[in-house]
Amino acid sequence: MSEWRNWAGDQRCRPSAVNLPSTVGEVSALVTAVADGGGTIKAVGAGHSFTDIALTRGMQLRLDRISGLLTVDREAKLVTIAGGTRLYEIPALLAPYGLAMENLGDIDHQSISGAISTGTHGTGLKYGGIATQVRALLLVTGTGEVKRCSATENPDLFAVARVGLGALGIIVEVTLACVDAFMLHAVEQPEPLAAVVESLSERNAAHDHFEFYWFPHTQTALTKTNTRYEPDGLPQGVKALSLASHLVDDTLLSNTLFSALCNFSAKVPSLIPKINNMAAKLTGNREFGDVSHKVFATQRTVRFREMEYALPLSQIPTVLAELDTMITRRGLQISFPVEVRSAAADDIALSTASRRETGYIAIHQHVKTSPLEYFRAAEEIFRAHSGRPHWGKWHFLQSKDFSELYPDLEKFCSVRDVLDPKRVFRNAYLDRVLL
Amino acid sequence: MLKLLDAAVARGLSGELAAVSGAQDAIWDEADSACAELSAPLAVLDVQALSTNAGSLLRRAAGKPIRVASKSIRSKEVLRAVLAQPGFAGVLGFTLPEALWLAADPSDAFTDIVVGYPTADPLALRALATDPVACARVTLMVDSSEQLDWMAATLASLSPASPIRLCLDLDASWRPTVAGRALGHIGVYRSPVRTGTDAIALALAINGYRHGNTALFRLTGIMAYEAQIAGLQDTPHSGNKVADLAKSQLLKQIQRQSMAEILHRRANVVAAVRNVCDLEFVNGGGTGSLELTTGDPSVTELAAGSGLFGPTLFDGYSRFTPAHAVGFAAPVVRRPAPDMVTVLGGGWIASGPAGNDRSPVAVHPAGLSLIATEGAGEVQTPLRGTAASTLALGDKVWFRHAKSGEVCEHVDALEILDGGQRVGRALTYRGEGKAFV
Repeated sequence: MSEWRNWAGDQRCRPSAVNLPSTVGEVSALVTAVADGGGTIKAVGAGHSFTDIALTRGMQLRLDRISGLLTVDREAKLVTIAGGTRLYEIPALLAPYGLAMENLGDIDHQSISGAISTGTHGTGLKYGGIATQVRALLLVTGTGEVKRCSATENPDLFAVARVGLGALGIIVEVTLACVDAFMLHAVEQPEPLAAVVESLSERNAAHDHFEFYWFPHTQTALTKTNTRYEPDGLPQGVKALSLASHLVDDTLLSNTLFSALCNFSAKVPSLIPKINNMAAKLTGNREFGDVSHKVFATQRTVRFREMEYALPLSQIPTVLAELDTMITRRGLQISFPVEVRSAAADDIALSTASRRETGYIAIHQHVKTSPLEYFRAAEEIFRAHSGRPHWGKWHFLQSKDFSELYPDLEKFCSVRDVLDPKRVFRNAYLDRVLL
Repeated sequence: MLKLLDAAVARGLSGELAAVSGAQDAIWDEADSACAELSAPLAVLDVQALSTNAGSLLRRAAGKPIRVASKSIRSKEVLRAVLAQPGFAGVLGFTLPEALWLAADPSDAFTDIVVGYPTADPLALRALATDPVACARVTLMVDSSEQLDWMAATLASLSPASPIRLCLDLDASWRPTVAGRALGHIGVYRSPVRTGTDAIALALAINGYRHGNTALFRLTGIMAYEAQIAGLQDTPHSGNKVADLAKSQLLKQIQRQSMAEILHRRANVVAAVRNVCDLEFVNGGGTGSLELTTGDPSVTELAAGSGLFGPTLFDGYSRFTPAHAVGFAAPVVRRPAPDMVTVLGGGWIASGPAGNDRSPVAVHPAGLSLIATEGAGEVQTPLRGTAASTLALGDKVWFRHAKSGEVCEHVDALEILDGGQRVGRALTYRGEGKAFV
């Protein structure tokens, strides 16, 4: 069989067979057949995970044909989407109904089932990860049974299955709680790192979606602040990115020229509009507005590897300082920024934000650079602050580590014993991280 | 000329330089006979010495490609011949009009020109922006948002054929500190960009300039030239041996520490900038520091030029000795005293801090020196020494110049010598009617 690779290109496998089922019945039949034959089966989405979570030597199911919008309840703002639907397809499906997903990450290529199974998230302290938007799931379990779960139907299963790592069943349908379509006003600007870190909790509280990138070897942070607005309700003058004004140059903010201009303008008030205009151009804050999904998503063309840890929100400043010290002490040259985001606490068993308000720190390394020293040293720091790794990104943890991090891991595994008694969904990753 | 270069580059690569050095003074005798028919002033380029120097540079670069500094050559034909050698790639130009002229050369030999210095020439900038070929071939140097604003304003009324390629100049000078207090600035004053924070701010600013829907600029590279290492003799030869020895020890110490500092800082700044954009190249070093700079993993290519001609400035380097590839001749026109002659011209002075080390050195016939009170003059240069009596009016006195490039501003062409024979001539920029600075 031909080789399958993930997005980064570094996780590869040769499935014994590949199938593209078009119906839930087909999925069920394939799982039943594999279970009877004592084999393994694994559904894959877009291959955006950086770990080996999607690899299989058994049968690979590609869910691309199980895709699209199944039902819409406009009143309840509930939509049901087929499991193989990619995130980037969803906005167009929801648009005719004036609905949108409440929050999204910055990558929109994943399948909806892959995104929720690995705990994919965006940023914003008022919002949870994508899995928290799920109201019901339809799973094909390890025995081929088709099982629905929600807060009222099989609630024990629902409590664990939203971040299910692909261990409990193949998600063929997802019911999402949507919100009315909205616009985002984005402000991006470089700022001194220290000030950003110091005001982190204020900014998280004051803004809908705040995140920043810290550039190693500098004391600069690129902040991104997104504010939600009603359709057509964007502040005056805010336009879509295609007409965006100049980006960013904060050197002049702290520069004497800029303060000299301010002093000068105090004496000649009639010049203020002109000077402000010029200063805005020089300092170049990138500011734009658009429909929500266009602002959430960004293009990633450079291939990298990523590690991301979920930390108690209050630990973020300390962890960043320790990362900085570690990079300097080891003489590492890091050519990707460190990304800092946040999310509300949730009640999903294996969600990285389970039962705690969470700050996320993601680190990256170019796909051609060995990430081992950087990632291992950073993980030591994350671990010391009770960090939980993103399930789809690099980490070096094993099951015993996870049982300390997730009190409900045992519960998850007992549900798995029922749903997948023959372990048809197992692979090396699940063997490593689950009990 | 190309072939001649090919044949001899291997010699430099294999490190057979000592043998060449010993026989170096013989070439002026040969040059004198080869150019007997020609009127002076004139300048010669010995192609075997040039090849040896080219090979030596490649060996010292240890595998990293060398971008050729055109200011040190100032002859299209010589540039073409050097660039045709594997291991040399790209031009480090000195002005935008020069870069446009090279980029438009019908030979297509100059497809990658980084202008090593910032540009403030509105006509040239507009010409660049509207020419798709030049846009693809020329990269401009920047180090401040003031320059970006100027360029954006200059280009406001037209739409560029493609984003203007930019290279960020990183200050590589050394500012040692003791207990947090700066002791001084060792190196040259070029760019205000020193830290990762400076560089990121500029890189982000570059990304933000737009013309309609398209980016106005694209950051493609970083350059960091360690002038205090590449351009400074570490074994000076002033004549006072004790002072020279002490100065040499101090200079070597400074260069060691400065190199360690820039290795660390450059790597960090490059990593920082790679946070926000993909870089095609990171240029470092110069003729004087190739073997040191090539060891910096963050550097992808080196720059060199003056080492090809081997002027007197390199006589005081401990790490390498280039062959004497270029010299010039001035005719004897007067005899003010029995032990003196005066030649026409001769004041082909190198730029930089005015001093004896910027003057040309009379090398043939041996035993002539400049007069301290007159030096090398604008139109005539008196020389004193025992050899004066052997010279007749019209005879040529041969000089070596101090610094590579400027010699070509005095002649229309370099007479090409090969094994003592005159085999042709290569036009200089001046010979093609071009004066860029």
